[in-house]
Amino acid sequence: MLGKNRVIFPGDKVLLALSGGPASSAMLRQVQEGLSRETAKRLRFIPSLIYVDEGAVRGQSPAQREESLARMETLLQATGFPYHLAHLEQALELPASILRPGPGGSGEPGPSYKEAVEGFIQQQRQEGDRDGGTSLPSLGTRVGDPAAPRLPAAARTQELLRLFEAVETPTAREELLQMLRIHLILQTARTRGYAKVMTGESCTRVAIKLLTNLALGRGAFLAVDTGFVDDRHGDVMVVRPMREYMAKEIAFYNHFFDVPTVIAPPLPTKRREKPSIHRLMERFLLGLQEDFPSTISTVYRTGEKLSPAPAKASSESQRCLLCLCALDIAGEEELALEPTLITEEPEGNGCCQDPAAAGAESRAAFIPLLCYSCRLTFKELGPLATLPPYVRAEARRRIRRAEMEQQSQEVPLEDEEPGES
Amino acid sequence: VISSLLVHCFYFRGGAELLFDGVKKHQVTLPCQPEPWDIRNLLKWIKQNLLKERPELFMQGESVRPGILVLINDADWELMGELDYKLQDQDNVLFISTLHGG
Repeated sequence: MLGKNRVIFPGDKVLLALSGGPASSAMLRQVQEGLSRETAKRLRFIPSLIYVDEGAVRGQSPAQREESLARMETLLQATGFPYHLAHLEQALELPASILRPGPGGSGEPGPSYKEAVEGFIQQQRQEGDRDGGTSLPSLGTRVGDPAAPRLPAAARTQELLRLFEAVETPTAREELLQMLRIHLILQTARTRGYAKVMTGESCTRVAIKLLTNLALGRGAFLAVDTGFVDDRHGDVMVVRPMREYMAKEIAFYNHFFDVPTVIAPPLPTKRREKPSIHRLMERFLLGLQEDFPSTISTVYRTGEKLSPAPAKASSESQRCLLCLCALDIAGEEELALEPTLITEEPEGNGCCQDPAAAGAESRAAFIPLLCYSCRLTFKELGPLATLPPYVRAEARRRIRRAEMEQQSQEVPLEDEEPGES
Repeated sequence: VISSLLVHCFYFRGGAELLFDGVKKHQVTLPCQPEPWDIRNLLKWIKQNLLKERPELFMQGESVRPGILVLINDADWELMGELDYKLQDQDNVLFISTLHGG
């Protein structure tokens, strides 16, 4: 899969995103196997691992979270690769820059894949690499401060829980979770210099995601959301190497090869809530698959035919604030959405001395920054005050920028003081 | 024919164990009964005696919920007759949940 797609170059630093679930655990095992092979087909990149503890929003008690983390850490250490442990709570501390695409590839084209592989093999031979690969330490080391306490501060956890409790529907909650997770992983990748991230979505998961995202209004972005390569972030590329393996195959593989997993409970649904679109679609597809065993592969193969739209020179003002995909709403369609927009009172009545800031903080001001499906999700998120600071900061920045652009267009040929940045 | 007591190990993995108090391995002696112990009856028995919560997450109708794999002695139950397979003494049955990704 990796050789066929030729996007992972020898010597690339790759971050493996592990959830502890069967597919990402199988992916880890495959990477270990691939790196240790003596043949020419040996994998040649440099992996590190990351595990994000989402126990707070998945209804785990601190004791249960500690236990999952301990089991996961043992698993990660045994691989010998460097690993990161993160908590979803850290998403609350992300910088606003995470919502901006990083610089893409360098100006000059690099070596072709074939040249890069040949060059790498030459280099290895010159260095007298006899054992056929870098020998790993027997125990992996944790990147970051090993003395840091296992779980985040309770106040942070409360803040995160408040954010999730305020969300009105399970569908929006799932979308929010995915968004926070990928931003957190992306931040680690960016700050540590990983050019690539591997996520373990199985064929089954990709097929479900394809139809779910269609139902969520993300039809324009199916190729990026489910394809092998997801390069919306510019400097960090997300790849999905497990997308050809069915969940059933992975389950059998894990059973026969003793692949360890640490299963986390699913997002809890409140008593009177209907299940999320994600759950419904999973139920639908798996149910069909029972009687029609080619269902999943047919959906997958149809999705394979989609390719991402050619990258236009997209400035950040043309990208969605939350999902970083191209804004797909033309002017006219906004009129159809207008009756559904509820203009709310600006947040923090009384503490807003600056009317401009109050205006910038209203929900309606966010809408033009979002693509169609993110608008739907956004409307189901809680009050602005509960949203993560980085989202609000970046939104404020873009709103202000748009206002300034508008103002400079309206006032012709005057020397203006530079506005507040 | 008097059937001898059947001793079995049932395993629950992939998240399925969460429905069984987190216990992954259950060693069980099934009681004697006139009806044969096929998987159909076994599932009824499991639902009554082992399943601790949310039966709809494990079973659908008389079979397991789509997304839950059943392995009888490490073989896919589809090869063994699914619900009609008659349990033999010392058979191991493994239930793996493939729901909720990974």
